[in-house]
Amino acid sequence: MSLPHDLLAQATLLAKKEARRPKQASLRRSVSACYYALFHLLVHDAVRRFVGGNNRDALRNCLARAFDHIVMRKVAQQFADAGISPKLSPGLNGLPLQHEIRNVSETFVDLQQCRHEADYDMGRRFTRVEVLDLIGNAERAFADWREVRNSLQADTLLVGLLAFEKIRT
Amino acid sequence: MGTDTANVRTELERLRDLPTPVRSWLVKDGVDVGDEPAVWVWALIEHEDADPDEVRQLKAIVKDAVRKATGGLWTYVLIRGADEDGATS
Repeated sequence: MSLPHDLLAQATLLAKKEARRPKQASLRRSVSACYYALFHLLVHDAVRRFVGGNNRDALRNCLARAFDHIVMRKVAQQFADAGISPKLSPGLNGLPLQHEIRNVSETFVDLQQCRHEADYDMGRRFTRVEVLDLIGNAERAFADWREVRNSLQADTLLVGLLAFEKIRT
Repeated sequence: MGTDTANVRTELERLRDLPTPVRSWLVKDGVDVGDEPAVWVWALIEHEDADPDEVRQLKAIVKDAVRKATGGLWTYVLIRGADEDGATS
C-alpha cells in the first residue's frame, strides 16, 4: 500500500489499540495520522501530476516540500465553500465544483484543525467514537478523491494547494 | 469571541427529526488554526454504532444550522457517544 493508505490504516489501528479505555496518546496519534493520510494523498497526486516521468522521484520529493499547511487550508476552505478566489477560478473553465471535491476540501480543513488540537492542545480530550468518526470522514474523502482526481477541478485544487500565494491576479 | 454560543445551542435544540438521536450538545467558540473565529459543536449521540450515512446527514444538518445562526462561521461538527465521556485514560 502507499503511504497515505498506510497512514489511514495506522489511524484505525491506533484508535482501536486499547480494547476498553483508549489512551489519549493513541487517540491523538490516530488523529494526526488521519490528517497526514489525506495531506500526503493530495501532495502525492499533485507532485505526480506536476512532475511526470520516470527517474523524477527525487525532484518530486523536493516539490512535495513546497506545500504549506496554512496555504492548503486556505484553499481547501475556498473549495469547501465553493467560493473560489479569482486567482484560481479561471482555471475551472466555468465548470461547477463536484460535491466530492467539496467534501475532500472540507474534510481537509476539519482534519487539519483536529490534528492541531491533537498535537498541541493538552486540554483537549478525544473519545474513541469521535476519532473513529474522523477516520470515517477521511475514508470517505479518499473514496471521493478517487472519483474526481482526474478532473479539471481536481487539477485546479492541486494547483491552488501548491501555489495559491504565488498566483497574481 | 463574540459568538453567541447560547443562541447556537438554542438553534440546535430546536432541530427535530434528526437522522440519529442526539442526547445533548456541547458548543464552544474560539479561534481556529487558520486564526479565524469558528464554532465547535459536539453532538453526543445515543447510539455509538449509528449508521455512518445517518451520522453524515446529521453533521450536514448541524453545520448548516450553525453557519446560518452565526453568519457563516466555519463550524466543526464532532461526534461523541453520549455514554463514553471520560472513558479514556
